[in-house]
Amino acid sequence: MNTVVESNQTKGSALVAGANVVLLAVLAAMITVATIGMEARPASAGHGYITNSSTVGNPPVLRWAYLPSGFEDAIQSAVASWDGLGIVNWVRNDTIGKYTLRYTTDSQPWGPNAVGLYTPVQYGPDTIAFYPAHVDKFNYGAADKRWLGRHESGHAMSLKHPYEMLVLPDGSIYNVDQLRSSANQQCCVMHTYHINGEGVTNLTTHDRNHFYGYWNMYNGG
Amino acid sequence: MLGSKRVLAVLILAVISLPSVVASLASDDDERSDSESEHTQDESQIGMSQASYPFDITDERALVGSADNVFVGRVLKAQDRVSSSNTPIAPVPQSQFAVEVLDTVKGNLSGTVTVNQGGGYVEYSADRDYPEDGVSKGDRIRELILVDGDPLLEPGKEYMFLTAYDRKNDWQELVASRVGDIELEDQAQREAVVETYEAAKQDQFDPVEAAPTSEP
Repeated sequence: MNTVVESNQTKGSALVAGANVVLLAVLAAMITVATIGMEARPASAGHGYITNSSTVGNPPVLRWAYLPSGFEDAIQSAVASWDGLGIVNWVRNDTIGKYTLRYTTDSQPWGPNAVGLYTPVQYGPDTIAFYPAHVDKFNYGAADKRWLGRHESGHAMSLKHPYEMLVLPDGSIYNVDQLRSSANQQCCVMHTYHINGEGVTNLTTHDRNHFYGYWNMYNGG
Repeated sequence: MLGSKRVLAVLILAVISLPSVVASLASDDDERSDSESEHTQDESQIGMSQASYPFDITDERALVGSADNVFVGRVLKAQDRVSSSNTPIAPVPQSQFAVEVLDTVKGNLSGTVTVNQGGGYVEYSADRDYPEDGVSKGDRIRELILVDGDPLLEPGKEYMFLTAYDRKNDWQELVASRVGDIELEDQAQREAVVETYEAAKQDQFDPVEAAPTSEP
């Protein structure tokens, strides 16, 4: 019995020692790669369907499906807007699939203020929920709804809110200066420029400005 | 830059902790069952919702103005609840917690209240086969969805809550993800946060009234 135990301990110690040597080397490599990589490119896209093709000349295809929601104009406008930029092609498709966005209204909106919610899942279609009651409460006109549709659709291309900038390790709660220095912080500041697996910074200035505007422009954009 | 530092820190911690994991696996291999592995795989999926707001949610004055109650509270327990759907359309999960009110900045809450947080566990059916992950169409998927990365409230921890009363459900709704539930890690931070929101209360405004009116 003791022999077995010792054998296991020896096995474990050897593994730990070996692992330490290997992992120290791995650590050095990871730090180097991480340091270079983090400065050179934005965060991971998170969605496989916007990788593996170049930004210019071969835009990815995102299928979209329609559910009655009272936001027909917003949805049509969003699809046309993004399509017009040539960054992504939107194709009407009612078949539920991984790459399909479902637009819907949610009978149980969350919180008293959110007007839209984009929810991706691993093994089903991503969902965009509009909250009509909240939209009405904040006096959204047709142009605002179109902006909202465009904005929420942008999430399908891995555009994210800058939530990671809201808490600082020094005890302060918000990185207010950084947020407020942005051109538009009415709702969200585009933080992760990530289309097609490429940083949007690789786009031309003209395209990037368009992209920024389509994402951020609020109240009549 | 902050994100970069966090990633770096996580990488370092992960590598440092690996030898212990290797040693643990060496002695525990026989105790791990396939069913446990599958169970872990199914429940380890984490999705990230993105909520959009019609005003600047980093403006504490607007946040306080949109809240019925601003208070410091301690989470007592979480309600074990999973939002489920029989279709591939995953519902937006919501989670409820019993919270003891410790100190109020706005409103007159006292005792124990129910706080509703966006996010939580959700179950739905896979929409097709995913052979690379061993998932077949119709399989029940259990996934954790966080709104804007806002971690679920943890029992035992104290937070500054900004909530609005939901009459239909008789609970307190967070006014926004992340900024509606600020974890208080020590007394100094608690005092600073309370001071911040006491000041914001003095200059609060209703973001609904401040919303611009546009064409119909």
